[in-house]
Amino acid sequence: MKRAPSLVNFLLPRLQDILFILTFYAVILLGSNLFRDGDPGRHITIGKYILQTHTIPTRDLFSYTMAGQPLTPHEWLAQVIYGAGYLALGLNGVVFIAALLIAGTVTLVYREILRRTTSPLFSFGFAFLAASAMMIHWLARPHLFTFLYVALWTPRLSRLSRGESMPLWHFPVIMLLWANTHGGFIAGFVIWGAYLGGFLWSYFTQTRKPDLKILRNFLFAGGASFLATLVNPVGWRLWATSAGYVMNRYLVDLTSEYRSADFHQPGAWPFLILLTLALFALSRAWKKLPIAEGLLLAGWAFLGIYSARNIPLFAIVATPILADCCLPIFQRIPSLQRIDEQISVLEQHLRGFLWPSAVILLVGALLLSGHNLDAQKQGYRFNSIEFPVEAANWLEQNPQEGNMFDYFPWGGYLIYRFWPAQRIFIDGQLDFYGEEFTKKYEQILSADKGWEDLVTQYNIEWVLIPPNAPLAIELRNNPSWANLYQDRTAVIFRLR
Amino acid sequence: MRVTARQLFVLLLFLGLFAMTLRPVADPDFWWHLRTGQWIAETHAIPHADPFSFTNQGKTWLAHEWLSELLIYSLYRTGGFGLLILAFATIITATFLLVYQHSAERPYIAGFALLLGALASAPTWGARPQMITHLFFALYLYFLDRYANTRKAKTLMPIPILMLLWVNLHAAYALGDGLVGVYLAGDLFELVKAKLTTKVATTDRSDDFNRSGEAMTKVATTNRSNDFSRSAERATKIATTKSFREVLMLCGILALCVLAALANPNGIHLLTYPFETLSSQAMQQNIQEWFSPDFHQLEWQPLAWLILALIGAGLLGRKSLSPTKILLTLIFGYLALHSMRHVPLFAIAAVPVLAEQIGSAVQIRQQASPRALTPSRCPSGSRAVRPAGRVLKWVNLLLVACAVLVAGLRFVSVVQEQAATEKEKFPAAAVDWIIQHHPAGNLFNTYGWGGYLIWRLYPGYQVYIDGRADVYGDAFITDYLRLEAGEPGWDTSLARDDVRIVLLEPASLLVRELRLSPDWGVVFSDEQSILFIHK
Repeated sequence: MKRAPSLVNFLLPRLQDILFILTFYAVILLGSNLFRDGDPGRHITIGKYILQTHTIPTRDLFSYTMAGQPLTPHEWLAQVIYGAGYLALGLNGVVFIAALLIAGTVTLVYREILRRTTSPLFSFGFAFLAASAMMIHWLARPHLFTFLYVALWTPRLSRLSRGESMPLWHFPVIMLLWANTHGGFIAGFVIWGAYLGGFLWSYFTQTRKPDLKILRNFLFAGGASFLATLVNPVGWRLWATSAGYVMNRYLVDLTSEYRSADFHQPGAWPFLILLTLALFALSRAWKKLPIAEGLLLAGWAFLGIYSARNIPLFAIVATPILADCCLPIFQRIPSLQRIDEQISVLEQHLRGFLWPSAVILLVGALLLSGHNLDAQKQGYRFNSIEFPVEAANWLEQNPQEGNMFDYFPWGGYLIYRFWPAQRIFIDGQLDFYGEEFTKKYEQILSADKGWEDLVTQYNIEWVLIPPNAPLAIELRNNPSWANLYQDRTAVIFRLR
Repeated sequence: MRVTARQLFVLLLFLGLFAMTLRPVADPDFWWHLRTGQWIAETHAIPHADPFSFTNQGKTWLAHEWLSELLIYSLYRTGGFGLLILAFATIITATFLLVYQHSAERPYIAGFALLLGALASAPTWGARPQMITHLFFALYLYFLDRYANTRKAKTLMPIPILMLLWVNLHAAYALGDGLVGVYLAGDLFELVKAKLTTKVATTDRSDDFNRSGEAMTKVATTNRSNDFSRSAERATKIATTKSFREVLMLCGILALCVLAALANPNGIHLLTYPFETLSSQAMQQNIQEWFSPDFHQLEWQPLAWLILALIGAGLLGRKSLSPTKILLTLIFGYLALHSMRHVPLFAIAAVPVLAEQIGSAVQIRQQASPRALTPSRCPSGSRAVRPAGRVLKWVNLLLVACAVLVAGLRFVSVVQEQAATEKEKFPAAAVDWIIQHHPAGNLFNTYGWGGYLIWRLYPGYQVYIDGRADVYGDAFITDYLRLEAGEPGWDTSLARDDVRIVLLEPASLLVRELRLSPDWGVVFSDEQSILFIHK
């Protein structure tokens, strides 16, 4: 007869709990870094709007240049969650949600590695490496939900490919949430396609053919998930929006996160370590990988090299596969093996989620009571070096009439600070503004030939831009424009 | 002479590669190399102080590529740009020929891997001393690999001799030491691993034998056990001594290379130079070829394909590589992702590895296929094929002739393009204006044009800055960048250096400031450049 677990079984933390707590706390500590991008400002504003008006906007509300134009609300659910967090706790709430998402993702990656390797210590090390690689894109934006969904989606497909019993309804449910949270849901189908491809390869090339029931399950999961993606405010148009941006070379090249990683920066080094481990493990040929997993490993490595934005997804998808390949290294270190065995034996008896729950509640309570938990103890904020925080403070005291021209990376922040009182010229949604309009924006900012005509066309009366922008140099020496404000980050000019 | 299909493939591959390597001279640094070579040829001395800039005049300059520069100038003087382009195309092709020679699975698989490596390296090709480093890198790999396969000491002899040349041709000679170090590390690893493995195996076997021997008479058992232990020990000792000797051999070669590196005009100062370059923040952050490759640019995508091919071949091939090959792939793979400049080194190191892995994958597929009809594998190059018939012989000759013609036409076209390339990439017309009007005062120029201005204007004018970033130092380069961006204080900086002529790209932010300033006037402008004179 099985003995009921005692209280002690619930009191001790597992390595999984320690990993969750460490990751959660790291995000809380580095919380202000989540706002080094202007888009969180826009997401928070839309989230608040949806919660307050109970409607999902399908037309542009924030710019005067594209006012009323149709807009695909492909991230509305994430925006509602961030908006709710903001209404409850301000930026503290947004950081809290982001911390839960990131820590949850890393824990899921750990659990998948543990399932494959059955080695808690080894899994902890690899999950830590995956978390480090993901840091490159830790921002308070909807893509954090994609990280979580990929961490839920991939192991399920892996189990399905091995013919394990698996509730198929998980797939359409995950995809229903995913498609309403972030356009990265397409990655789910890419991963599904890799597993399907692996199955078909095995079926047609191996003498011992896999069970056709697996194919049936795959087709059901994929079909049901595809139908689930259509359940969103704009139906099939969601696919056009999500895929359309990455097809536009000009817009993609303008977006820094889509560029290839800069391997001079320490943020890219964990990815380099993972790539190195991949090449090393494959060159030692310790383990034969199923075709699907080989496709995922090679494919996501390529995508990660191509665009830094894909590095976290590589970390989530490929690290469990890589850990499995590298296990023989760990197994040759007897001292670590002994410690690992002891931990394994102990963890078999441990239960519950006491420690993570306690930390979540404690941090939540501290944030609610107004404590500053960030490393600088100054509270979460948008960085005044990267964003026109002081200029925005000045504008609150000295509001300006008329149409504004702004620097696009600041658009989301300006929406957060001034909407609905002030509308912007452009913000980070370059896919919405389109290539033609974005080129006009560039023409004005660079003070290229014809920029004055565009200023007249859009009836621009004042500008808020970086002081070293070509337009700033031009306006500084133009008697028609007055310099109202300047600091190290931003300068404001107004037409006389 | 009968040409087999394989030979034809190889011939066409290298003719094609040669045609690919023919390109106009467009590297910004080429021009100051040319001027330096001329300086050396005319003065019969190697410069130790900078003669080309007014900002750095007389300061120490380590002319570490003096032999390459002399070679470049000699080629230019003998045959103009045509001979230069031909010579460097030959150097690059020779590099890849060496890589091909020490790859397995010749010709087709090695040819495919070589093509991928060449495409990955192509963005860095040009008439510059770096190409010579690639050749020496490939030579070192060739000899070290031959040593690894044959273990004959004489195969290592050319290595220190090559270093005597390399150290005077290009400052990346330290790569040679690095390569010897990698092979040394690989051998050490194998030695330690072999020693540990054999010790365990000997102890186990000896124990087993002793246990079974207890059933027999004690004396006979003891004698046999002792015999076994002694012969196992002797075998281990011979193997270990041999491996240890090989490790010592590599240590000796490394020491000779380090000593050979002292045989240069700058002596011991050149030993630290490569590391100073790598640690220069200004160079790493501002000089494009030190940036990580941008895989959104089509020219760098073959590098991504090469990495993908290595991962894919590793997945399918399942061949266990030696520690040396793993180290080579990983170290130079990292360097390639760190800086575009190192991509050819990775390609040279990775191509043989890729060919080996693809070969392994093909073998596995052939063994697994129940309908495999291919004959048993023969060593590469020795496979018996039916000689080409008469018609086939003429077809082969025609193909080769076409390839030669295409390469020849490409060469002619590239040489004809040279003048247009110079006008497109460099401020040729603005420099013509300066030469014609000879304005007074010091000249401030864009960094990338410094070499061209040294070639066209020295000694009449000296430059503000050029591509010899090591000469100017990080602090000066940072100040230059602020000045070129038109940051406040630009006018004071120009006045301090008595700059009265400014030659810039039209998109430069300093151009906007100069246009708006009453003290400066535009005297010449075209699509490439804009020239200001102080009023």
